[in-house]
Amino acid sequence: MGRYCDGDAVAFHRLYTLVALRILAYLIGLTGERALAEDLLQQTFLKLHRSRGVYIRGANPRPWIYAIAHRTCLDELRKRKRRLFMLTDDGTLPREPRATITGVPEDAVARDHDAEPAISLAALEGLPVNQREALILTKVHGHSVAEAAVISGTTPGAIKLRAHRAYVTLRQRLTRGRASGGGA
Amino acid sequence: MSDLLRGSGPLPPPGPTLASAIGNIKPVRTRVPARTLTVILGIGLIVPLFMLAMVGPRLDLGALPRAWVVLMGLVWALAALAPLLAATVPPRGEVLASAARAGRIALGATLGLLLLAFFATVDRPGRTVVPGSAAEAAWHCLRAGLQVVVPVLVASLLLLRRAFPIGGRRIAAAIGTAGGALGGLTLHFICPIGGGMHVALGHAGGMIAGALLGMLVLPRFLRS
Repeated sequence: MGRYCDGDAVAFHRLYTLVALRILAYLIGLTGERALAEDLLQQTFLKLHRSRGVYIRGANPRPWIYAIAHRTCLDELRKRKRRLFMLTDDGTLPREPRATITGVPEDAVARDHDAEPAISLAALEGLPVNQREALILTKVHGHSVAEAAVISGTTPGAIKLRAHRAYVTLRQRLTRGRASGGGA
Repeated sequence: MSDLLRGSGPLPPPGPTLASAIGNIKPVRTRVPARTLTVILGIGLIVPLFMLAMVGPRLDLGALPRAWVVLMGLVWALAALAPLLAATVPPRGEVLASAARAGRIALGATLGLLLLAFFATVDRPGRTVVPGSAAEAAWHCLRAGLQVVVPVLVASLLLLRRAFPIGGRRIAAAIGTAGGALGGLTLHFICPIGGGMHVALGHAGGMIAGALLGMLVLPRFLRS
């Protein structure tokens, strides 16, 4: 990160290779959409680039980059909540075809992966955003509670509580899902 | 939990806007938290020193117990330094200061000084001024305190721009509180008006007003 701040473009690409995939995974977990997550990833790194002057030499940049991604995602989700949609004739929302940043339809990318991600993402989708982020940061990405608290701008106690609540809800859902699946 | 959520799969390349920004990359000067803190404090002290030079020390200063004057001065200084330190200097090895911690410290400092102002204000009858209109006197001091807050906020706006993707509002409140406490410190040495109510409303109230002003002005600039 220090060399990147010194104007070394190669250092940026190395940083991007090291952290972008995890940030993308975090954003997919929060949004539930790969295409949107890829768009937010680009915005996150653009913001990182514009604010690289606030970096402190020798510090670990990861929680900071996660925090930028977190803010970018929250802003986008809020924007989407306020957005007006034109309904179709039958009163439903029109389905937009989704594509990744490379232009490949998202369905095609999703088919490349196994079925498990879809199950996990679907289970996460119904959770409130703050519980989802606490769960992903601590249980999936392995951040400490303190780090997750800094990323989310809250206290370690709140992160523990949110992660616990998310865990309980997820367990209940998965158990229910398995029970209904077994009964059928 | 799925591999997708853990971070495996294809990594999208940087988009055209990002790639072009990286293509024109220039070296930047990185932040040194101790320097930021010192500069903000230095700028924040300009107005207090100017006020002290223009108005002079309070009329009853010589008649007040020296230990109380020094101790309360230290408490005001600590109330200015602690929130500012928490907001500008992150723990070693980290880029982000904890907004939650800064907010807690600012709240604690404000409540502590409100209580101290109410219950630990010392007056010297005959030397300490008793105001004709308490509200007017408090408003006068509150305005003087806010004059100290403004340069602190402006300096923070310039030095901490885009430094807080998360928790900008609480960081702004902590910085505003620190500015208000600097104002309180100034008034402790120049304002001869006595009474716990006046000091609580007019002097410690500046910390609340500073926090509100900070929350109103700073967050949009602090956000990445």
